[in-house]
Order: sequence, then C-alpha cells, then structure tokens
Amino acid sequence: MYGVCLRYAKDMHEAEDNLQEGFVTVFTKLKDFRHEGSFEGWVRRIMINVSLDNYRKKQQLLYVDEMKKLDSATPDEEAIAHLPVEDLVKVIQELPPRYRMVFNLYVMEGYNHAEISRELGISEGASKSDLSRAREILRNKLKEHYSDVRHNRRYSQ
Amino acid sequence: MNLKDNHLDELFRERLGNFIPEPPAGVWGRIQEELDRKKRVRRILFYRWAGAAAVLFLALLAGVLLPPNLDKRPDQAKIEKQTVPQQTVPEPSSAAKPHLQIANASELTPQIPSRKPSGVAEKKERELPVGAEEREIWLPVLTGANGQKRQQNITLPEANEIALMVLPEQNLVIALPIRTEPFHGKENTWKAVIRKERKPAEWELGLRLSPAYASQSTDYSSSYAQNLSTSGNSGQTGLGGGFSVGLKTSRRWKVESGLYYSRSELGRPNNSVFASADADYYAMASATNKSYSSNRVTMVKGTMAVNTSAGLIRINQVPEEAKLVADLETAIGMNTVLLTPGDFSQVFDYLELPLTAHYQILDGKMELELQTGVSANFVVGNQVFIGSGTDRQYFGKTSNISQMGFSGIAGLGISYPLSKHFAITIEPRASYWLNSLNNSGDVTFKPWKIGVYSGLTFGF
Repeated sequence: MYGVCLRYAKDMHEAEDNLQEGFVTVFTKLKDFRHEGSFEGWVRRIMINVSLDNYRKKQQLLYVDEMKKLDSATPDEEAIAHLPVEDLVKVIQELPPRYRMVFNLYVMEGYNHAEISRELGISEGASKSDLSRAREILRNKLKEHYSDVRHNRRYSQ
Repeated sequence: MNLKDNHLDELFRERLGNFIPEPPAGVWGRIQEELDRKKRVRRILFYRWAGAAAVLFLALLAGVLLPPNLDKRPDQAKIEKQTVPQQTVPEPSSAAKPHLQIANASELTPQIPSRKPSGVAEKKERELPVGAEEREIWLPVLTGANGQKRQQNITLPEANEIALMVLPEQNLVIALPIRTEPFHGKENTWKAVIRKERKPAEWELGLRLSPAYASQSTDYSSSYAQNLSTSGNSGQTGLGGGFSVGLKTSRRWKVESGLYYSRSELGRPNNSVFASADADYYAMASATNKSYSSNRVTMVKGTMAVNTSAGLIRINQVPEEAKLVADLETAIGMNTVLLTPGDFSQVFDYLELPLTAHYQILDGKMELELQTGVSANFVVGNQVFIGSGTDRQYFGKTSNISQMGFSGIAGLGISYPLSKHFAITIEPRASYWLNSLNNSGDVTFKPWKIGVYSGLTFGF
C-alpha cells in the first residue's frame, strides 16, 4: 500500500502521510467492509481515495511544468526495464500533480477516461490530453535516465 | 525504437505493480498512536455510560432495600413506579461504534500463523463461544517487498501485536495482525481471522422456577398493637415459577417481562400458653396433650377475627380442638381468647408481572447481567392455616389485603449457553413491595423475598 501511496504522491513524505491517513481510515471504517470484493482491493481503494482527496485539497496550488526539450536519444525497452524501480517511482512523482493522478488512475488502476473525469472533476478530453502529456513527459524522463545510464557505462569502461 | 503508449503503460504497470516498498520507520507507531487516541475518547464515553448505569442501579437498589417510612402517603409508591422504567431504558450509543483494542498476540496465538520451532508447544486453542464462526481472510502484506526485505525486521513499536477490531453492529471481532510473520505459501499476504460471534438472540423466551425465601417488614398503629396476638413472624421458603419474554434492544441491554406465579408463606409463631403466666388457659389446655397458643379474638361483621402482624385474620373455620376462654382480667380491648393448637401460617399467592431492564456486564461464554425493574403483583390467593404439616387446618383469610401492589426488583443474571438457541439461566433476585399489602391503614405490611430464578431460555 505504501507503493500505491508513493505513486500518487509528489514525494516520500506526502506518501507517508497518505499511508497513515489511509490506514487510520481502514481501521475506523472496517465495519463498512462488506466482504464482497477482496480486502486488498478495498484497502487499496481507500489509499487511492485519500491520495485523491489530498490532491483535490491542493488543487488550487497546481501548476503544470513546462515540458523539457526532447532528447534525440531513444531508449530501448530493455534498458528501461533494468532501471531501478525506485527511479520509475521517482519519474512518476515528478509529474505535475494532475498528470500524475490521471496516469495512475488510467494506467495503474485501469480506470477509463469517463471514470477519471468523474473522479477528478475534469472533462474527458482533459483527461485524455493529460494522459498523453504524462506519457510524453515520462518518455522524455526515461530517455534522460537512459542516457545517464549510457554515459555512466561509458565512463566506467 | 520509440516507446509506444501501450508499451510504456505496460512497463510501468508491470514494474510498479510488483513494487512493495517498505514504509519508513515510524509510520506504524503514528498509526497506532492515532488509533489509541481515538480509542481513549471512546473509552471515556463508555465509562460515562457505565457510571450512569451503575448509579441508577445503586439508587434503585437503595430504594428497594432501604425503604424509608416516607411512603405512608400511598401516592409516593405510584410516582416511583412510573418513573423507574423510563430511566432504565437508555442505551449507550457508543456501543454501536467500533472500538479498537490492541491485544497481545499470545491470546490468539493459534490464529496467527508463525514459524515456531517445532519444540514449542502450541498454546491451547481459545474456545469459541457457542455458535461462533471463524473464517480467515488474507490481508495484503504491508511491508516487505521481496525475499530479503521480508526477512528483515519491520519497524514496529512492539512485536507480536494484533489489533482486535470489535464491531458490535455486525457481531464481528476482527483480529488484524499489526505485525507477525508472513504465512508460508501465501505470498504477500498476512493471515487474519474474522470471527463471527454468536448473534445475540433478539427475542428470548424463558421458563423459570423460583425457590424463594420470603418474609416481610411490618409496622402497625398503637391501637392495633394493643390487641395484637403476636408480633413475631418468621420467613419461609416457597416455590414459584413462570415464563418470561425478553427483547434485546442492543448488545448489552435487554428488556424483559413475563408472568410468574409465586406463593409466600409467612409463619406466625403464636403466644404459647405457659403454666405460670396463663394459669387459667393452661388449666384448659393441659386437659389435652397438645400445646396451645392463645389468640385474642373479637367479632367483626359476623365473623370471629384475630389480630396479627399481617392484619386481621377472619376465622372462617374454627380448628378442631380449639377452645374459647374469657380473659376477664384484661380490662381493655378484646377479652376473649381462642386457644388453638399450633401456629398460624399466612399463605398468599401472587401473579407477578415484572418489567425489568437488564444490562450485560460480562460476556464470553458465560454472561453476567444486572437487572432492575418493577413488578405489578396481583394477589390471587389469601389463606390462613393453623398447625403445620399434615395437621394443618384451614383457618380463614387475612382481611384488608390489597388486590394488587408493586414491588421493586434488583438482581443478577447468569446465563450459560447450551446450544445456539438454548441457555441455562440462574438469576438471584430480591424484590420488595413498594406499597403495603395491607390497606387498612392500621398495618403496613411489606413482603420481600429473595429468590433464585433458574431455568431455561430459548433465544431466536
């Protein structure tokens, strides 16, 4: 569940706060658990809700990062697959908050754009464009990482 | 190769989906702190309710056991009776809320899988209450991502603690391991046990027998006392029984009514005739070999009557071997004496219609509850006998006896389940008449009794 919170948060501290809030909610709302779905799914849903709530509260302060210039280097999948998973979390955390929410809900939780638009109070079109922007940013960040990895390799040789 | 959207998505899904990082130290401590804080608040609420209930119970008990002589005014008893049931009904709203307690895992050891050295004896499995069910659920692992990490100690305040979640509304007790070792075979899960407790029966029918010791407190006017044949009285045991209907209004509160029959016998040792003091009677009595008692008698509305501490007894049938003597030395009051063999016993039969509130203070397999309430009592039998055992002869009836009266009840209830529906109950109860059984004004006569109501209840 900490992993879930990390993906939705901008950093470790926010993730920790969400995790704590989430578990307190789990304990106090246990009576509402209907044993219909899996317990894990239910806890996960609570963690996501807490994360989204806190995102909504901070929404006024949101801004969208300017996109960085595209690097010409093309990462190959294999190289990315070997990036430390912490780095993958980090690139997600570095996404502008709204992109981060949309990306997490769509890719990780499997929501569709209609559901996301309801969840975040944005239009479906915005959800779609946020998602593609998020992907673009991630792609670029991965390229940066990829080139870092390549450079490091070169130096170590 | 540029990453396609679906490849990118897949990559993140795959890598992050399996990513279970270890939460930083201190998170669990803070979670527990916050839960403890909430728990404390609820505890205070509970103590408040429990305190109020205890005060109420003690007040009723005091009212029942220490009846002041204030109720010379008959209205008093009525007021008391009307207000009591309303006071006893409130139920603690906090009972409906879940509360969390941190228990030592050793209490539930068998339910928490752990890698114990094989030499360590398993603790005896805690017995489940009758009708309780248990099922296991698998909780996601909260910490420990991969092989090595799982072996490490997780940062938690104390080892082997579990949280017991009590959900009164659903009759659930959930044991959540805050920390234990992961169970073999099931990756990334903790085993927790959801215990479904016996659903408390909403309705409860009971059949009860009540052996009881009965006696009374009496008080009489001075003019009445002058001609009192005997001021002594002694309690006796009697047997009663009946059925009850109870309704559980919450997990802890129950309201019960029913219909009971009971018989109380009050022995009245008479003034024995002694040779020295009552020479004249003695001469009469000694002609036979029986021991005689002397009773001053008078004529009331065409029947012979004798004063007793429970009131005037009208003699419907003069016992065999009775003798009538004139006591001419007594200048005042009744100066005719009836010599009777043996003592009186006054027998009253009642139908009792109790209304009691029950508060459960202990649960588990054995349940213990406090009971308090009032009972409307109807006098359905009123007889006086003379003599004892097989020699007992019908003598008459006590006059000026109320048709109906109220008594206060206080007691304890212990119940032990036999099966899902049936339980044995043992309920020691004390009851005390709040108004006088005798309505003549000369005599205040308040029976009390201590009975053990025991029997069988059927809950559904």
